[in-house]
Amino acid sequence: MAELSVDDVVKLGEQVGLEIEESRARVIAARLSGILSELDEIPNDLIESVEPSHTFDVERG
Amino acid sequence: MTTTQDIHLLTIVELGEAFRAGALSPVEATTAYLERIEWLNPTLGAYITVMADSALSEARTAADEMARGEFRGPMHGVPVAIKDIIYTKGTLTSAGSRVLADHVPEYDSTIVERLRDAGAVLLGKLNLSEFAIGGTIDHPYGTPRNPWDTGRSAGGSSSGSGVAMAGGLCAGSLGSDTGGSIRGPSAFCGIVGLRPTYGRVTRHGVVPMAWSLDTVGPMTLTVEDCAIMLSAIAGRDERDPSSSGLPAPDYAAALREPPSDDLRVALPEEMFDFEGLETEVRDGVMSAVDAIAELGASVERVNLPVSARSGSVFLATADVDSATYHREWLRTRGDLYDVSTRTRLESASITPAATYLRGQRARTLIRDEMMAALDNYDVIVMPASPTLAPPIAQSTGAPGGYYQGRLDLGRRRYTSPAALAGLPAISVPCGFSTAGLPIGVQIIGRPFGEADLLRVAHRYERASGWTSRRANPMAPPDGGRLER
Repeated sequence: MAELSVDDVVKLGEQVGLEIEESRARVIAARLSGILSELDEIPNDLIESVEPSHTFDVERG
Repeated sequence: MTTTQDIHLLTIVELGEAFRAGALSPVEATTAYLERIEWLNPTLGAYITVMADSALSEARTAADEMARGEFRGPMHGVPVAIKDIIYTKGTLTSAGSRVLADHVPEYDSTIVERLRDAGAVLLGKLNLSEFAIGGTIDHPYGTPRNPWDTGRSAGGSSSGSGVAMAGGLCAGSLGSDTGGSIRGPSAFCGIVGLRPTYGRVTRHGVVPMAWSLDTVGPMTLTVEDCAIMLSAIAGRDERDPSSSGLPAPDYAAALREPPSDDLRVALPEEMFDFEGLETEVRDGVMSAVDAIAELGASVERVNLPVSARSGSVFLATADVDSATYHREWLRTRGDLYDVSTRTRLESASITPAATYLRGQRARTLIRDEMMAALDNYDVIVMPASPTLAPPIAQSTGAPGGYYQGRLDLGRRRYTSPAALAGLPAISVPCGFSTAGLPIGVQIIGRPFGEADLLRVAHRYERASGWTSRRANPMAPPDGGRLER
């Protein structure tokens, strides 16, 4: 996924009913880009080999 | 002979012994703690609400019961405090936020009921990072300060729980751990803190951070105290469908069982070659590993490559849980949030669904990776935090702060794996830096393996002796010393 711009963040915020000021949008753009970048370091073949997790069976832990 | 001046140095076990011997009464102990809170809380910022009247009433009840020879157990008469996300009927439960500044629950959480059933005395409600989300810049109820150096952070989010223990402002405390919020403050404050297995402790009446990861656990002076508090709160709760029906043993009794003579310890390479791992922390944790090996354990290096990226997995998944809970308040009361909390929740609110699901798939990989390691080893050992407690000004979610960017992702690799995999993990003091700041070693165990985990931690604690060191007196930011 391409890096998010400040403008992207503001527009995405509007779509979920949030007014995100530019100062916070700048932080969010950097934050989300960092998260996406690290997530992308996990090889796709590994990711695609499993199903998404959900809340564990509490008896198993 | 216990004097009023040193009651705060006593462990839960020692308090119980003093009560049973008639050397000390719960009223004397409670009064001593309340006096100490009055003296130190303005500096340390541990408590949001002090429940002096009800605490003294509970202490008198405990004293009356003891006078009749009725001892309920090891928590009877013990003054404790709890993180202010745990509901208390008729008493403010703020979650450390202006958003809940008027939130007075109409019922007690199950945990509070269980503490009261055990005869504990509830001193009050403890400060925290707003809504148990780390990185708060402006704490509305005062800044929690690390008793080992009041210019330093106590960690987050169970900051007040760590401060209250290290500062001698209660005999036992409860925190919550979604992604490290018990283990981080425990490491920074030089105390013992246990994140239980997901589902081991009820969360009925606890403000959520992330439903699929939240746990409540004890933060104490010693491992044995930790075992006692866990026994008081663990077990199935019909009001919390996520709580486990597996029987909760007497964890303190389990400490007295013979230890395994062939303990197998895994050391993850990725947690020791991280560039952000401070040298003194690495040295402190490795000295703990050496001590555990000297007790007869075999230690081997392992690789946990996906877990090393667990910081982003945590933020891409847990934060979305959290944003869902805050959805309406963010829209209507956004200005009431601390700017760091608000920014983080807004970030989670616009996290793409594909990213969330990639995170959930990666979470499966982390769970599989951790469980595979625990198939071959009894415990996984690593630092509880890669750094010593940072200065307060650098410990926030402000740009450049501890909760921002690569540093945030990097440090989260230490606490996120156990959280994402639902595993129990404990932080135990393992030394001090040259500047006198505590270091914590983290030991991770199998699901519902708290008894085994506590036994390992207890053996190490007894061999090392670090938990006997206490932060008293304390140095305030001006470099002076607090003296009574």
